[in-house]
Amino acid sequence: MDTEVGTRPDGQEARPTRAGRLRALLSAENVIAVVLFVALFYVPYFLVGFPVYVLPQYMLFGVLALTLCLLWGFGGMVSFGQAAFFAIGAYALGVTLRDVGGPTAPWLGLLLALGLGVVLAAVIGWFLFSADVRDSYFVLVTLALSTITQVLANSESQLTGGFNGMFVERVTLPFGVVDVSLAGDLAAYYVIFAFTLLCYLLFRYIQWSAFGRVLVSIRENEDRSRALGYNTALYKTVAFAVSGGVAAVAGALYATDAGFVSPTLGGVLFSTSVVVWVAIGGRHYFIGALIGGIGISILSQTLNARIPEYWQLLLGLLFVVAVGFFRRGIVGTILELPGRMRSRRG
Amino acid sequence: MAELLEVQGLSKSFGGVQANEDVHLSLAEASVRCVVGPNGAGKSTFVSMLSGHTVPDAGSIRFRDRDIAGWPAHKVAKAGMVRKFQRPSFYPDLTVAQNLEIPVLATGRRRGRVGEAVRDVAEQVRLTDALDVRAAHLPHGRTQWLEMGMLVARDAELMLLDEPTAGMTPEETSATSRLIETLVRERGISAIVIEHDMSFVRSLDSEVTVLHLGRVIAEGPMSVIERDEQVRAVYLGQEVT
Repeated sequence: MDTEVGTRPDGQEARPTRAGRLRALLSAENVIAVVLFVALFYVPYFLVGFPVYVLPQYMLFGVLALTLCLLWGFGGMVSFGQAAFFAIGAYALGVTLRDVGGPTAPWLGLLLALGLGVVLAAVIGWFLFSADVRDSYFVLVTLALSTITQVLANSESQLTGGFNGMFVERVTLPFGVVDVSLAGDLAAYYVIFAFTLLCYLLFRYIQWSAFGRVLVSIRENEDRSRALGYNTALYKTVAFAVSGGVAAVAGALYATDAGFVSPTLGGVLFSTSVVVWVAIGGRHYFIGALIGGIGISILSQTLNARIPEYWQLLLGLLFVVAVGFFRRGIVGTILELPGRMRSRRG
Repeated sequence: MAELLEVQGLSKSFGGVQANEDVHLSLAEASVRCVVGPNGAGKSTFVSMLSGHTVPDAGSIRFRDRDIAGWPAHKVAKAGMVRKFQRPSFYPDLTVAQNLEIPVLATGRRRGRVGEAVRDVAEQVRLTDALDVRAAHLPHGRTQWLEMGMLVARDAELMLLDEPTAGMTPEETSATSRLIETLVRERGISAIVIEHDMSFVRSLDSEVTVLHLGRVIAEGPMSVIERDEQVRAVYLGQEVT
Protein backbone atom coordinates (compact mmCIF):
# COMPACT_ATOMS: atom_id res chain seq x y z
CA MET A 1 0.00 0.00 0.00
CA ASP A 2 1.29 3.43 -0.81
CA THR A 3 2.15 5.87 1.87
CA GLU A 4 0.16 9.01 1.39
CA VAL A 5 0.42 12.58 2.35
CA GLY A 6 -0.80 13.83 5.65
CA THR A 7 -1.50 10.39 6.86
CA ARG A 8 -0.08 7.40 8.49
CA PRO A 9 0.15 4.42 6.18
CA ASP A 10 -1.04 1.96 8.80
CA GLY A 11 -4.25 3.92 9.34
CA GLN A 12 -3.36 4.29 12.99
CA GLU A 13 -5.88 7.06 13.36
CA ALA A 14 -8.55 4.40 13.18
CA ARG A 15 -6.87 2.12 15.73
CA PRO A 16 -4.81 4.15 18.16
CA THR A 17 -2.83 1.44 19.90
CA ARG A 18 0.36 2.15 21.80
CA ALA A 19 2.40 0.14 19.32
CA GLY A 20 0.81 2.02 16.44
CA ARG A 21 1.61 5.34 18.03
CA LEU A 22 5.21 4.31 18.59
CA ARG A 23 5.51 3.12 15.00
CA ALA A 24 4.17 6.44 13.77
CA LEU A 25 6.67 8.28 15.95
CA LEU A 26 9.53 6.20 14.56
CA SER A 27 8.49 6.68 10.94
CA ALA A 28 11.31 7.07 8.41
CA GLU A 29 10.25 10.68 7.95
CA ASN A 30 10.72 11.51 11.63
CA VAL A 31 14.02 9.65 11.79
CA ILE A 32 15.37 11.64 8.85
CA ALA A 33 14.17 14.88 10.45
CA VAL A 34 15.92 14.06 13.74
CA VAL A 35 19.14 13.17 11.91
CA LEU A 36 19.00 16.40 9.91
CA PHE A 37 18.41 18.66 12.89
CA VAL A 38 20.99 16.91 15.06
CA ALA A 39 23.51 17.23 12.23
CA LEU A 40 22.69 20.92 11.77
CA PHE A 41 23.00 21.44 15.52
CA TYR A 42 26.51 20.00 15.60
CA VAL A 43 27.84 21.66 12.42
CA PRO A 44 29.48 24.56 14.34
CA TYR A 45 31.25 22.02 16.57
CA PHE A 46 33.13 20.60 13.60
CA LEU A 47 33.25 23.36 11.04
CA VAL A 48 34.23 26.99 11.38
CA GLY A 49 34.14 30.04 9.15
CA PHE A 50 32.22 30.03 5.90
CA PRO A 51 29.84 27.07 6.53
CA VAL A 52 28.69 28.56 9.83
CA TYR A 53 28.21 31.91 8.11
CA VAL A 54 26.30 30.62 5.10
CA LEU A 55 24.26 27.68 6.44
CA PRO A 56 21.72 29.88 8.29
CA GLN A 57 20.82 31.51 4.98
CA TYR A 58 20.28 28.07 3.48
CA MET A 59 18.15 27.05 6.45
CA LEU A 60 15.97 30.08 5.75
CA PHE A 61 15.75 28.96 2.11
CA GLY A 62 14.65 25.62 3.56
CA VAL A 63 11.89 27.38 5.51
CA LEU A 64 10.86 29.14 2.32
CA ALA A 65 10.64 25.70 0.69
CA LEU A 66 8.41 24.56 3.60
CA THR A 67 5.97 27.40 2.89
CA LEU A 68 5.68 26.28 -0.74
CA CYS A 69 5.37 22.64 0.33
CA LEU A 70 2.27 23.50 2.37
CA LEU A 71 0.68 25.18 -0.63
CA TRP A 72 1.79 22.82 -3.38
CA GLY A 73 2.30 19.42 -1.77
CA PHE A 74 -0.65 19.63 0.60
CA GLY A 75 -3.03 22.20 -0.86
CA GLY A 76 -2.36 21.56 -4.55
CA MET A 77 -1.63 25.23 -5.26
CA VAL A 78 1.62 25.89 -7.10
CA SER A 79 2.93 29.32 -6.15
CA PHE A 80 5.63 31.17 -8.04
CA GLY A 81 5.24 34.01 -5.58
CA GLN A 82 7.07 32.73 -2.51
CA ALA A 83 10.11 34.92 -3.19
CA ALA A 84 7.85 37.96 -3.17
CA PHE A 85 6.83 37.29 0.43
CA PHE A 86 10.45 36.56 1.35
CA ALA A 87 11.58 39.89 -0.12
CA ILE A 88 8.68 41.82 1.40
CA GLY A 89 9.66 40.48 4.83
CA ALA A 90 13.30 41.36 4.18
CA TYR A 91 12.49 44.95 3.19
CA ALA A 92 10.02 45.30 6.07
CA LEU A 93 12.77 44.61 8.59
CA GLY A 94 15.32 46.71 6.74
CA VAL A 95 13.04 49.74 6.50
CA THR A 96 11.95 49.44 10.15
CA LEU A 97 15.55 49.30 11.35
CA ARG A 98 16.48 52.30 9.21
CA ASP A 99 13.43 54.53 9.80
CA VAL A 100 12.28 53.59 13.30
CA GLY A 101 15.37 52.49 15.15
CA GLY A 102 15.66 51.87 18.86
CA PRO A 103 15.99 48.63 20.79
CA THR A 104 12.51 47.34 19.90
CA ALA A 105 12.90 47.99 16.17
CA PRO A 106 14.00 44.38 15.40
CA TRP A 107 10.83 42.96 16.95
CA LEU A 108 8.74 45.63 15.25
CA GLY A 109 10.39 44.76 11.97
CA LEU A 110 9.75 41.05 12.36
CA LEU A 111 6.13 41.75 13.36
CA LEU A 112 5.69 44.04 10.39
CA ALA A 113 7.11 41.32 8.14
CA LEU A 114 4.72 38.75 9.58
CA GLY A 115 1.75 41.12 9.34
CA LEU A 116 2.49 42.17 5.77
CA GLY A 117 3.02 38.57 4.67
CA VAL A 118 -0.18 37.33 6.29
CA VAL A 119 -2.39 40.23 5.21
CA LEU A 120 -1.11 40.39 1.64
CA ALA A 121 -1.49 36.63 1.17
CA ALA A 122 -4.90 36.62 2.83
CA VAL A 123 -6.22 39.44 0.64
CA ILE A 124 -4.84 38.02 -2.60
CA GLY A 125 -5.89 34.50 -1.60
CA TRP A 126 -9.42 35.46 -0.68
CA PHE A 127 -9.99 37.31 -3.95
CA LEU A 128 -8.62 34.45 -6.03
CA PHE A 129 -10.02 31.47 -4.16
CA SER A 130 -13.50 32.83 -3.56
CA ALA A 131 -13.66 33.47 -7.32
CA ASP A 132 -12.53 29.85 -7.76
CA VAL A 133 -9.26 30.71 -9.50
CA ARG A 134 -7.32 27.45 -9.69
CA ASP A 135 -4.36 25.65 -11.16
CA SER A 136 -2.46 27.45 -13.89
CA TYR A 137 -4.41 30.68 -13.39
CA PHE A 138 -3.26 30.76 -9.78
CA VAL A 139 0.31 30.15 -10.98
CA LEU A 140 0.04 33.12 -13.34
CA VAL A 141 -1.17 35.45 -10.60
CA THR A 142 1.63 34.41 -8.26
CA LEU A 143 4.14 34.89 -11.09
CA ALA A 144 2.79 38.41 -11.49
CA LEU A 145 3.16 38.94 -7.74
CA SER A 146 6.88 38.14 -7.97
CA THR A 147 7.34 40.38 -10.97
CA ILE A 148 5.50 43.28 -9.36
CA THR A 149 7.51 42.93 -6.16
CA GLN A 150 10.78 43.08 -8.05
CA VAL A 151 9.66 46.03 -10.16
CA LEU A 152 8.44 47.97 -7.11
CA ALA A 153 11.63 47.20 -5.18
CA ASN A 154 13.55 48.68 -8.10
CA SER A 155 11.39 51.73 -8.63
CA GLU A 156 10.56 52.79 -5.05
CA SER A 157 14.17 53.65 -4.38
CA GLN A 158 13.53 56.07 -1.49
CA LEU A 159 12.02 53.19 0.43
CA THR A 160 14.04 50.24 -0.78
CA GLY A 161 17.28 51.64 -2.06
CA GLY A 162 16.19 50.64 -5.54
CA PHE A 163 18.60 48.94 -7.86
CA ASN A 164 21.49 49.35 -5.41
CA GLY A 165 19.70 47.33 -2.76
CA MET A 166 19.65 47.94 0.95
CA PHE A 167 22.14 47.14 3.65
CA VAL A 168 20.67 45.65 6.83
CA GLU A 169 22.61 45.40 10.07
CA ARG A 170 22.77 42.31 12.26
CA VAL A 171 20.08 42.93 14.89
CA THR A 172 19.99 42.38 18.63
CA LEU A 173 16.77 40.77 19.78
CA PRO A 174 15.74 41.67 23.35
CA PHE A 175 14.17 38.60 25.02
CA GLY A 176 13.01 40.19 28.29
CA VAL A 177 16.03 39.79 30.59
CA VAL A 178 18.58 38.73 27.99
CA ASP A 179 19.45 40.37 24.73
CA VAL A 180 20.45 38.00 21.95
CA SER A 181 22.75 39.63 19.47
CA LEU A 182 22.94 38.14 16.04
CA ALA A 183 26.18 40.00 15.37
CA GLY A 184 28.31 36.90 15.84
CA ASP A 185 27.94 34.17 13.25
CA LEU A 186 27.56 31.50 15.91
CA ALA A 187 24.69 33.30 17.68
CA ALA A 188 22.98 33.96 14.37
CA TYR A 189 23.43 30.30 13.48
CA TYR A 190 21.62 29.02 16.53
CA VAL A 191 18.85 31.62 16.47
CA ILE A 192 18.08 30.72 12.88
CA PHE A 193 18.48 27.01 13.64
CA ALA A 194 15.84 27.37 16.38
CA PHE A 195 13.57 29.29 14.01
CA THR A 196 13.92 26.59 11.35
CA LEU A 197 13.15 23.83 13.84
CA LEU A 198 10.11 25.74 15.10
CA CYS A 199 8.83 26.26 11.57
CA TYR A 200 9.29 22.57 10.75
CA LEU A 201 7.36 21.57 13.87
CA LEU A 202 4.66 24.12 13.06
CA PHE A 203 4.18 22.68 9.58
CA ARG A 204 4.18 19.11 10.89
CA TYR A 205 1.53 20.15 13.40
CA ILE A 206 -0.54 21.66 10.60
CA GLN A 207 -0.16 18.39 8.67
CA TRP A 208 -1.41 16.40 11.66
CA SER A 209 -4.28 18.76 12.47
CA ALA A 210 -7.79 18.53 11.09
CA PHE A 211 -6.98 21.62 9.01
CA GLY A 212 -4.09 19.81 7.31
CA ARG A 213 -6.18 16.77 6.54
CA VAL A 214 -8.94 18.86 5.04
CA LEU A 215 -6.34 20.75 3.00
CA VAL A 216 -5.15 17.44 1.53
CA SER A 217 -8.74 16.50 0.74
CA ILE A 218 -9.12 19.80 -1.11
CA ARG A 219 -6.03 18.94 -3.16
CA GLU A 220 -7.53 15.54 -3.93
CA ASN A 221 -11.06 16.67 -4.78
CA GLU A 222 -12.09 20.22 -3.97
CA ASP A 223 -15.69 19.83 -5.15
CA ARG A 224 -16.22 16.84 -2.88
CA SER A 225 -14.87 18.69 0.15
CA ARG A 226 -17.04 21.70 -0.59
CA ALA A 227 -20.11 19.52 -0.98
CA LEU A 228 -19.32 17.96 2.40
CA GLY A 229 -19.65 21.38 4.01
CA TYR A 230 -16.16 22.85 3.91
CA ASN A 231 -15.68 26.43 2.82
CA THR A 232 -12.72 25.44 0.67
CA ALA A 233 -11.91 29.01 -0.39
CA LEU A 234 -11.44 29.90 3.27
CA TYR A 235 -9.21 26.88 3.89
CA LYS A 236 -7.00 27.73 0.92
CA THR A 237 -6.85 31.37 1.96
CA VAL A 238 -5.72 30.44 5.47
CA ALA A 239 -3.06 28.11 4.03
CA PHE A 240 -1.83 30.88 1.73
CA ALA A 241 -1.78 33.39 4.61
CA VAL A 242 0.21 31.05 6.88
CA SER A 243 2.59 30.36 4.03
CA GLY A 244 2.99 34.07 3.22
CA GLY A 245 3.51 35.03 6.86
CA VAL A 246 6.19 32.42 7.54
CA ALA A 247 7.95 33.20 4.24
CA ALA A 248 8.05 36.90 5.16
CA VAL A 249 9.52 36.28 8.62
CA ALA A 250 12.12 33.97 7.07
CA GLY A 251 12.91 36.78 4.62
CA ALA A 252 13.33 39.28 7.47
CA LEU A 253 15.78 36.97 9.24
CA TYR A 254 17.58 36.47 5.94
CA ALA A 255 17.96 40.24 5.56
CA THR A 256 19.62 40.69 8.92
CA ASP A 257 21.73 37.55 8.54
CA ALA A 258 22.97 38.19 5.01
CA GLY A 259 23.19 41.94 5.61
CA PHE A 260 21.95 42.90 2.18
CA VAL A 261 18.64 42.89 0.29
CA SER A 262 18.29 43.51 -3.42
CA PRO A 263 15.23 43.56 -5.70
CA THR A 264 16.16 40.21 -7.30
CA LEU A 265 15.34 38.55 -3.96
CA GLY A 266 11.66 39.05 -4.76
CA GLY A 267 11.89 38.11 -8.41
CA VAL A 268 10.57 35.33 -10.60
CA LEU A 269 13.99 33.70 -10.85
CA PHE A 270 14.26 33.17 -7.11
CA SER A 271 10.63 32.07 -6.90
CA THR A 272 11.36 29.48 -9.56
CA SER A 273 14.32 28.23 -7.53
CA VAL A 274 11.96 27.57 -4.63
CA VAL A 275 9.73 25.50 -6.90
CA VAL A 276 12.80 23.56 -8.12
CA TRP A 277 13.96 22.83 -4.54
CA VAL A 278 10.58 21.51 -3.53
CA ALA A 279 10.13 19.46 -6.71
CA ILE A 280 13.54 17.81 -6.32
CA GLY A 281 13.27 17.30 -2.57
CA GLY A 282 9.73 15.96 -2.65
CA ARG A 283 6.63 18.08 -2.31
CA HIS A 284 4.58 15.58 -0.35
CA TYR A 285 6.82 15.64 2.71
CA PHE A 286 7.88 18.73 4.62
CA ILE A 287 11.23 17.08 5.31
CA GLY A 288 11.66 16.63 1.55
CA ALA A 289 11.09 20.32 0.92
CA LEU A 290 13.41 21.32 3.76
CA ILE A 291 16.21 19.06 2.55
CA GLY A 292 15.59 20.22 -1.00
CA GLY A 293 15.97 23.87 0.02
CA ILE A 294 19.07 23.40 2.15
CA GLY A 295 20.68 20.65 0.08
CA ILE A 296 20.37 22.24 -3.32
CA SER A 297 21.58 25.57 -1.96
CA ILE A 298 24.70 23.83 -0.61
CA LEU A 299 25.11 21.94 -3.86
CA SER A 300 24.73 25.11 -5.93
CA GLN A 301 27.29 26.88 -3.75
CA THR A 302 29.81 24.03 -4.00
CA LEU A 303 29.39 23.38 -7.69
CA ASN A 304 29.38 27.06 -8.47
CA ALA A 305 32.84 27.28 -6.93
CA ARG A 306 34.16 24.17 -8.72
CA ILE A 307 32.49 24.19 -12.13
CA PRO A 308 30.82 27.57 -12.61
CA GLU A 309 30.12 26.82 -16.30
CA TYR A 310 28.12 23.67 -15.77
CA TRP A 311 26.39 23.67 -12.40
CA GLN A 312 23.22 25.30 -13.59
CA LEU A 313 23.05 22.79 -16.39
CA LEU A 314 23.50 20.01 -13.82
CA LEU A 315 20.78 21.50 -11.64
CA GLY A 316 18.52 21.67 -14.66
CA LEU A 317 19.20 18.02 -15.46
CA LEU A 318 18.48 17.08 -11.86
CA PHE A 319 15.17 18.92 -12.10
CA VAL A 320 14.25 17.18 -15.35
CA VAL A 321 15.15 13.78 -13.90
CA ALA A 322 13.17 14.46 -10.71
CA VAL A 323 10.12 15.64 -12.62
CA GLY A 324 10.37 12.86 -15.20
CA PHE A 325 11.26 9.86 -13.09
CA PHE A 326 10.90 10.74 -9.42
CA ARG A 327 7.60 12.53 -9.32
CA ARG A 328 7.63 12.43 -5.56
CA GLY A 329 11.09 13.95 -5.40
CA ILE A 330 14.27 12.37 -4.08
CA VAL A 331 13.36 12.33 -0.39
CA GLY A 332 9.76 11.42 -1.19
CA THR A 333 10.87 8.47 -3.32
CA ILE A 334 13.21 7.20 -0.59
CA LEU A 335 10.51 7.52 2.05
CA GLU A 336 8.06 5.55 -0.04
CA LEU A 337 10.41 2.71 -1.00
CA PRO A 338 9.42 0.39 1.89
CA GLY A 339 5.72 0.79 1.13
CA ARG A 340 6.32 0.16 -2.58
CA MET A 341 8.27 -2.99 -1.87
CA ARG A 342 5.66 -4.27 0.56
CA SER A 343 2.84 -3.74 -1.93
CA ARG A 344 4.86 -5.47 -4.67
CA ARG A 345 5.36 -8.52 -2.50
CA GLY A 346 1.74 -8.44 -1.31
CA MET B 1 -46.30 18.95 11.36
CA ALA B 2 -43.56 20.75 9.48
CA GLU B 3 -41.98 18.73 6.74
CA LEU B 4 -38.23 18.16 6.53
CA LEU B 5 -38.09 19.60 3.04
CA GLU B 6 -40.65 21.77 1.28
CA VAL B 7 -39.90 22.84 -2.27
CA GLN B 8 -42.23 25.24 -4.06
CA GLY B 9 -42.31 26.88 -7.45
CA LEU B 10 -38.69 26.06 -8.24
CA SER B 11 -37.70 27.25 -11.71
CA LYS B 12 -34.49 27.48 -13.64
CA SER B 13 -33.71 28.20 -17.25
CA PHE B 14 -30.41 28.06 -19.07
CA GLY B 15 -30.48 30.48 -21.96
CA GLY B 16 -33.75 29.66 -23.70
CA VAL B 17 -34.09 26.19 -22.20
CA GLN B 18 -36.49 25.81 -19.31
CA ALA B 19 -34.74 23.13 -17.22
CA ASN B 20 -37.13 23.28 -14.27
CA GLU B 21 -40.50 24.98 -14.08
CA ASP B 22 -42.60 25.33 -10.96
CA VAL B 23 -41.25 22.13 -9.42
CA HIS B 24 -42.68 21.23 -6.04
CA LEU B 25 -41.90 18.45 -3.61
CA SER B 26 -42.39 17.88 0.06
CA LEU B 27 -40.65 15.29 2.14
CA ALA B 28 -41.31 14.10 5.70
CA GLU B 29 -38.65 13.14 8.24
CA ALA B 30 -37.08 9.72 7.74
CA SER B 31 -38.54 9.06 4.33
CA VAL B 32 -37.36 8.38 0.81
CA ARG B 33 -38.45 10.03 -2.41
CA CYS B 34 -37.44 8.88 -5.84
CA VAL B 35 -37.27 11.39 -8.65
CA VAL B 36 -37.54 9.80 -12.06
CA GLY B 37 -37.95 11.03 -15.58
CA PRO B 38 -36.50 10.57 -19.06
CA ASN B 39 -33.18 12.13 -20.02
CA GLY B 40 -33.40 15.90 -20.07
CA ALA B 41 -36.35 15.95 -17.68
CA GLY B 42 -34.44 18.29 -15.37
CA LYS B 43 -33.59 15.84 -12.58
CA SER B 44 -29.97 16.87 -12.27
CA THR B 45 -30.81 20.56 -12.37
CA PHE B 46 -33.31 19.95 -9.62
CA VAL B 47 -30.75 18.25 -7.40
CA SER B 48 -28.15 20.89 -8.16
CA MET B 49 -30.53 23.58 -6.98
CA LEU B 50 -31.25 21.67 -3.78
CA SER B 51 -27.54 21.14 -3.06
CA GLY B 52 -26.57 24.75 -3.75
CA HIS B 53 -24.60 24.04 -6.91
CA THR B 54 -27.08 25.93 -9.09
CA VAL B 55 -28.90 29.10 -8.12
CA PRO B 56 -32.64 28.90 -8.89
CA ASP B 57 -34.35 31.66 -10.88
CA ALA B 58 -37.44 31.48 -8.70
CA GLY B 59 -39.04 29.42 -5.97
CA SER B 60 -38.27 28.43 -2.44
CA ILE B 61 -36.46 25.49 -0.82
CA ARG B 62 -37.41 25.24 2.82
CA PHE B 63 -35.19 22.80 4.68
CA ARG B 64 -35.95 22.52 8.38
CA ASP B 65 -37.94 25.75 8.06
CA ARG B 66 -35.12 27.77 6.61
CA ASP B 67 -35.23 28.96 3.03
CA ILE B 68 -31.91 27.76 1.68
CA ALA B 69 -32.50 28.60 -1.99
CA GLY B 70 -29.36 30.22 -3.38
CA TRP B 71 -27.12 29.23 -0.48
CA PRO B 72 -23.60 28.12 -1.44
CA ALA B 73 -23.03 24.36 -1.48
CA HIS B 74 -20.90 24.23 1.65
CA LYS B 75 -23.57 25.98 3.72
CA VAL B 76 -26.27 23.67 2.44
CA ALA B 77 -24.16 20.68 3.42
CA LYS B 78 -23.57 22.20 6.84
CA ALA B 79 -27.31 22.58 7.28
CA GLY B 80 -27.63 18.81 6.83
CA MET B 81 -28.45 18.24 3.16
CA VAL B 82 -25.50 16.49 1.51
CA ARG B 83 -25.15 15.40 -2.08
CA LYS B 84 -23.66 12.38 -3.78
CA PHE B 85 -22.72 13.33 -7.32
CA GLN B 86 -23.70 11.40 -10.39
CA ARG B 87 -20.10 10.85 -11.45
CA PRO B 88 -17.75 9.24 -8.91
CA SER B 89 -16.46 11.81 -6.44
CA PHE B 90 -14.28 10.76 -3.55
CA TYR B 91 -10.57 10.96 -2.67
CA PRO B 92 -8.94 8.26 -4.82
CA ASP B 93 -5.42 8.62 -3.40
CA LEU B 94 -6.50 8.45 0.22
CA THR B 95 -7.43 5.29 2.09
CA VAL B 96 -11.04 4.38 2.77
CA ALA B 97 -10.54 5.36 6.43
CA GLN B 98 -9.24 8.77 5.40
CA ASN B 99 -12.09 9.22 2.93
CA LEU B 100 -14.52 8.72 5.80
CA GLU B 101 -12.45 10.81 8.20
CA ILE B 102 -12.82 14.02 6.17
CA PRO B 103 -16.64 14.12 6.45
CA VAL B 104 -16.46 13.10 10.12
CA LEU B 105 -14.10 16.02 10.80
CA ALA B 106 -16.67 18.30 9.11
CA THR B 107 -19.16 17.45 11.85
CA GLY B 108 -16.86 19.07 14.38
CA ARG B 109 -16.45 15.91 16.44
CA ARG B 110 -13.65 15.93 18.97
CA ARG B 111 -10.45 14.32 17.75
CA GLY B 112 -10.71 11.34 20.08
CA ARG B 113 -14.13 10.36 18.70
CA VAL B 114 -13.25 10.51 15.03
CA GLY B 115 -11.86 6.98 14.71
CA GLU B 116 -14.92 5.54 16.39
CA ALA B 117 -17.28 7.36 14.02
CA VAL B 118 -15.23 6.23 11.00
CA ARG B 119 -15.41 2.57 12.07
CA ASP B 120 -19.10 2.88 12.80
CA VAL B 121 -19.89 4.18 9.31
CA ALA B 122 -17.51 1.69 7.67
CA GLU B 123 -19.42 -1.13 9.27
CA GLN B 124 -22.72 0.25 8.02
CA VAL B 125 -21.51 0.42 4.42
CA ARG B 126 -19.56 -2.87 4.71
CA LEU B 127 -16.11 -1.41 4.21
CA THR B 128 -14.60 -2.49 7.53
CA ASP B 129 -12.28 -4.93 5.78
CA ALA B 130 -11.06 -2.23 3.38
CA LEU B 131 -10.31 0.66 5.76
CA ASP B 132 -6.61 0.71 4.84
CA VAL B 133 -7.16 0.25 1.11
CA ARG B 134 -6.62 3.19 -1.22
CA ALA B 135 -10.04 4.23 -2.46
CA ALA B 136 -8.79 4.10 -6.06
CA HIS B 137 -8.29 0.35 -5.64
CA LEU B 138 -11.91 -0.35 -4.66
CA PRO B 139 -14.21 -2.01 -7.19
CA HIS B 140 -16.82 0.35 -8.61
CA GLY B 141 -19.78 -0.90 -6.59
CA ARG B 142 -17.93 -0.40 -3.35
CA THR B 143 -16.93 3.16 -4.24
CA GLN B 144 -20.63 3.96 -4.55
CA TRP B 145 -21.09 2.64 -1.04
CA LEU B 146 -18.06 4.58 0.12
CA GLU B 147 -19.64 7.74 -1.22
CA MET B 148 -22.88 7.03 0.57
CA GLY B 149 -20.83 6.29 3.67
CA MET B 150 -19.25 9.71 3.35
CA LEU B 151 -22.69 11.32 3.49
CA VAL B 152 -23.57 9.26 6.55
CA ALA B 153 -20.23 10.17 8.13
CA ARG B 154 -21.13 13.82 7.53
CA ASP B 155 -24.25 13.27 9.67
CA ALA B 156 -26.45 14.09 6.69
CA GLU B 157 -30.10 14.41 7.60
CA LEU B 158 -31.11 14.38 3.97
CA MET B 159 -29.03 12.57 1.37
CA LEU B 160 -29.29 13.70 -2.23
CA LEU B 161 -28.36 10.58 -4.17
CA ASP B 162 -27.78 11.19 -7.85
CA GLU B 163 -27.91 7.75 -9.48
CA PRO B 164 -26.57 5.67 -6.59
CA THR B 165 -26.75 2.39 -8.51
CA ALA B 166 -25.18 3.48 -11.80
CA GLY B 167 -22.86 0.74 -13.00
CA MET B 168 -23.88 -1.75 -10.34
CA THR B 169 -24.68 -5.42 -10.74
CA PRO B 170 -28.29 -6.47 -9.94
CA GLU B 171 -27.15 -7.96 -6.61
CA GLU B 172 -25.36 -4.75 -5.67
CA THR B 173 -28.40 -2.74 -6.71
CA SER B 174 -30.73 -4.64 -4.43
CA ALA B 175 -28.18 -4.48 -1.59
CA THR B 176 -28.11 -0.71 -2.12
CA SER B 177 -31.86 -0.38 -1.76
CA ARG B 178 -31.65 -2.39 1.48
CA LEU B 179 -28.84 -0.10 2.68
CA ILE B 180 -30.97 2.98 2.07
CA GLU B 181 -33.88 1.40 3.92
CA THR B 182 -31.60 0.55 6.84
CA LEU B 183 -30.23 4.09 7.00
CA VAL B 184 -33.76 5.47 7.07
CA ARG B 185 -34.88 3.02 9.73
CA GLU B 186 -31.83 3.05 12.02
CA ARG B 187 -30.52 6.56 11.64
CA GLY B 188 -33.62 8.44 10.62
CA ILE B 189 -31.89 9.78 7.51
CA SER B 190 -34.06 10.87 4.60
CA ALA B 191 -33.09 10.53 0.97
CA ILE B 192 -33.99 11.95 -2.39
CA VAL B 193 -32.94 9.42 -5.00
CA ILE B 194 -32.57 10.12 -8.68
CA GLU B 195 -32.69 6.92 -10.67
CA HIS B 196 -33.08 5.36 -14.06
CA ASP B 197 -33.35 1.80 -12.84
CA MET B 198 -37.07 1.11 -12.45
CA SER B 199 -36.63 -2.15 -10.57
CA PHE B 200 -34.52 -0.28 -8.04
CA VAL B 201 -37.18 2.40 -7.64
CA ARG B 202 -39.81 -0.30 -7.22
CA SER B 203 -37.73 -2.11 -4.60
CA LEU B 204 -37.36 1.08 -2.57
CA ASP B 205 -41.16 1.19 -2.36
CA SER B 206 -41.27 4.92 -1.73
CA GLU B 207 -43.18 7.89 -3.06
CA VAL B 208 -42.14 8.84 -6.57
CA THR B 209 -42.02 12.20 -8.30
CA VAL B 210 -42.00 12.08 -12.10
CA LEU B 211 -40.42 14.96 -13.97
CA HIS B 212 -40.95 15.59 -17.65
CA LEU B 213 -39.60 18.60 -19.55
CA GLY B 214 -38.81 20.28 -16.25
CA ARG B 215 -42.26 19.89 -14.72
CA VAL B 216 -43.78 17.52 -12.19
CA ILE B 217 -46.28 15.42 -14.11
CA ALA B 218 -47.12 12.86 -11.44
CA GLU B 219 -46.54 12.14 -7.82
CA GLY B 220 -47.42 9.21 -5.59
CA PRO B 221 -46.56 5.62 -4.73
CA MET B 222 -44.89 3.60 -7.47
CA SER B 223 -47.90 1.31 -7.83
CA VAL B 224 -50.09 4.30 -8.72
CA ILE B 225 -47.45 5.99 -10.86
CA GLU B 226 -47.04 2.86 -12.93
CA ARG B 227 -50.71 2.97 -13.91
CA ASP B 228 -50.70 6.68 -14.76
CA GLU B 229 -51.41 7.02 -18.47
CA GLN B 230 -49.41 10.18 -18.99
CA VAL B 231 -46.38 8.73 -17.25
CA ARG B 232 -46.57 5.59 -19.31
CA ALA B 233 -46.78 7.65 -22.43
CA VAL B 234 -43.77 9.87 -21.77
CA TYR B 235 -41.47 7.58 -19.96
CA LEU B 236 -42.10 4.17 -18.57
CA GLY B 237 -43.29 2.66 -21.79
CA GLN B 238 -42.26 -0.95 -22.24
CA GLU B 239 -40.57 -1.22 -18.90
CA VAL B 240 -43.80 -1.21 -16.91
CA THR B 241 -45.58 -4.00 -18.72
